[in-house]
Amino acid sequence: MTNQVILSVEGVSKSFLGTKALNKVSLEVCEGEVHGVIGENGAGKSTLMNTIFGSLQRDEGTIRFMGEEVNFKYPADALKAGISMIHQETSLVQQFTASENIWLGMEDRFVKNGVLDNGARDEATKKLFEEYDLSIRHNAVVSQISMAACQMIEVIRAVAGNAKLIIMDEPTSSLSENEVGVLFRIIRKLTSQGVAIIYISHKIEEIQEICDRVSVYRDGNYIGTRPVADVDRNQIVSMVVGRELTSLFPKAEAEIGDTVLEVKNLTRYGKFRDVSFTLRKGEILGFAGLEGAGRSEVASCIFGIDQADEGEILINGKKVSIKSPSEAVELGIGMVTEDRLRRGIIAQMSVKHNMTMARLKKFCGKGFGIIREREETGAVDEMIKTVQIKVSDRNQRIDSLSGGNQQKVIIGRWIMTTPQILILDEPTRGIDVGSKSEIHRLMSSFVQQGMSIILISSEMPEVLGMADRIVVMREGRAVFTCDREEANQELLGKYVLG
Amino acid sequence: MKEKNNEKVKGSSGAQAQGKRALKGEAVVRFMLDNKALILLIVLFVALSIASPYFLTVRNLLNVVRQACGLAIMGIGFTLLLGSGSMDLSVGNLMALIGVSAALLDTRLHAHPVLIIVICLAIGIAGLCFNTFLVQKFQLPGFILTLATGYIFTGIMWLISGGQSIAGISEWMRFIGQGTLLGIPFQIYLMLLLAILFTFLIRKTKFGRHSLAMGGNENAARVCGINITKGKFLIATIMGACVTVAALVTTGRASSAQLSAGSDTAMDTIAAVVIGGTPMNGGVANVPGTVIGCLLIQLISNGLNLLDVNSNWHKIAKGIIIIIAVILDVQGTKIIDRLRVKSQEKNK
Repeated sequence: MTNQVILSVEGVSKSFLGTKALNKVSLEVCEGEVHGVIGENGAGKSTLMNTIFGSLQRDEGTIRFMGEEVNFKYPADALKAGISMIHQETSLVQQFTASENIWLGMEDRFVKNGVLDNGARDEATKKLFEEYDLSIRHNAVVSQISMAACQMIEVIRAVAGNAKLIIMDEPTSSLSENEVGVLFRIIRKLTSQGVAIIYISHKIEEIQEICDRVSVYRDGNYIGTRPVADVDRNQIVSMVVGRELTSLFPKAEAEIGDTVLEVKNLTRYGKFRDVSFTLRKGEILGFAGLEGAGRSEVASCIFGIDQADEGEILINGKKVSIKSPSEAVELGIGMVTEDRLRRGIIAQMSVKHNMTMARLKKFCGKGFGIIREREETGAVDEMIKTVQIKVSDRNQRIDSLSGGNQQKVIIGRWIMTTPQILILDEPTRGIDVGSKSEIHRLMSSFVQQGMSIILISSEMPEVLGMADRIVVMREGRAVFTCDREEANQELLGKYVLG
Repeated sequence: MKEKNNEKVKGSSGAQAQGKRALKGEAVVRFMLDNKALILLIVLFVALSIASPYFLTVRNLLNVVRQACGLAIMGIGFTLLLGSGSMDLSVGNLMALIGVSAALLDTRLHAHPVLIIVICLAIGIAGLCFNTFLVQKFQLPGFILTLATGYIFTGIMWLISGGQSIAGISEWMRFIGQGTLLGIPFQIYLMLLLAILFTFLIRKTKFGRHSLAMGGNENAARVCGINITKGKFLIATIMGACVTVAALVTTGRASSAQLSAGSDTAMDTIAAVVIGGTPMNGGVANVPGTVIGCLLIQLISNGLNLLDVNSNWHKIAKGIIIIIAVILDVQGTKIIDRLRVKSQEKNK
């Protein structure tokens, strides 16, 4: 390690429509260093990287690269300066060959008399592949090669572009153990040549293996940087999850009754496997885990959005087969989906129309389904009061509300169906603290009325604060279940991160 | 201390007033964007009244309305279709096919009117449902698929017609397109009836609300327990019926089934619907807007005719109107968003 600082980020903040995604964070990366970046979902890692890479513009703070203050407007500027980013999802042109992809945007080097010399380009590619000891054919079409090979091609592309700093966003998420070995070998070769790597990962053992230092972020704040050699696994875990529990979660006691939902060995190939759990009347069952651990996928199967390949679902002791959300609604299940924009709100419609969408039948006459407007309006007004939505006019478009209020409309939508089981998938993600605590208060009052709730949340304090029992999922399996009393951040953190 | 407080209160109410003013501005812009067809119609109306002495006569105006009816009947159904997130470019071809079928059944087989109408309805509904089936089953883009099925419909029409328009249709069919009731053309009653029915359907029934939800956000609609496939087929059936009515009106007006009857219909319909305030990407359906849009399109042709402009210019003018409508449609929400953000910033 040469210790020459190549990138320094100081006091950088970034807000999205009032939500603070980054709050005066720092980061310092040296030449030839592999710098680990770790944090839960929503910690601000991606926002920070996109700010460095020029995909997003910071609100305040300074970023220095190779000693000079920089202000990249577009990723193209960052690339030119020598920063490359390898995204989690491949950004290669699927129809192009490896060689074409590597030199995309840099073809000028091979232009002779205005004509592209493909032979020379392919030679250069071969040479690079040899240098890094990769067995990828230069003319392989990207759509036909493995994810791992794509990842390597992206790394080589960064090398070809003379990158001084390469940002890797969870590069191993789709790699096998062997392939991870190859990646690490390349990373070591790069760092020996003075290239700096920012290595974002959820996997602590990887960070311990490949990184020199690690920086931790949480809720948009910078927590600290430690040399990897000086900290052990538990210290990293507690830095990642160690949030102070506040009074944000006013959980009230509810009477817990009989089992209403039983899931037995539910499996959906490629998503999750052998998941079993029970949910009782008046209970909040928390699902902790990382994104992609299979929690939302399990919920989607219970709600009939997807179909499970194996396993059983029992409601009130009766085996059911749920093939569509409409069947789930009939069985008394409601679901507030994770992606509010894609699967929740209907942006062009009013608050009122959005709210009654799942139970319009209730306000309709038989036959032609003519809506009894007055009844609908009355119910909407009542629900607006119950879930406390700040709205000046029930007929205003839902997308004119804040995220928190939109979410409350969606919650109201499902409460209108008077569900027996309510699934809440990341109900408070990206919404302000006030709305958040109100949603928690609502959850408590719902279970007191005899509803049962499945709460999926990547925010550990939320699960710890609200749930009566907690299931931890990791890599498609339910790896741990415990009661409220036994649970604490360190224990869950261990199972979440694996 | 007290004074300071007072000032603060004043300051905030000032900001509020400013915010309200900004909101008012937003409301005006929104009204203009939502009613762009009406505004254009009024402007054109006034301009033509001044430019041509023949324009502002009962005869001419009634003519414009009558000519707009066929398009409007098609457009009213299309408003629901587009609002529910579907697209169909084959409706014009299908309309011509139905027109030819009706004329053939009438002139060659002398079939009973009721039978002819039933068969025509069956063709219309089958055509639309065929499109919907392919789109739903194979998850195809409706734009491309219906371009293809449009060719098929046209091909069938040429085959059965033998390549010639079919004249000599019965009195009842001519009445649909030419007859009057209490001095007003019969087709205007038809058009108004459909307009009222569809406005009601869209605004006041579960079916209408669900259709728009499907168009606005299909995923969200599915999560809400709405049966998308069933809804799409129901809408296709209704649209099929509209195409049939439009075909009978068009055939009746021309006293014969013209092979070229449907060639521009799909584009004219989309133009009228979009300029009437129904966005290309669904979620909103404005039936009265569509009727106004149809009048506007007809008025352009009528005006250019009165001013003795070469008919090729009509197409160019229509093309320009469609471009303007689409720009306003796509950019309209952005303009409003920008205004809203501005007023929010000012409030701060």
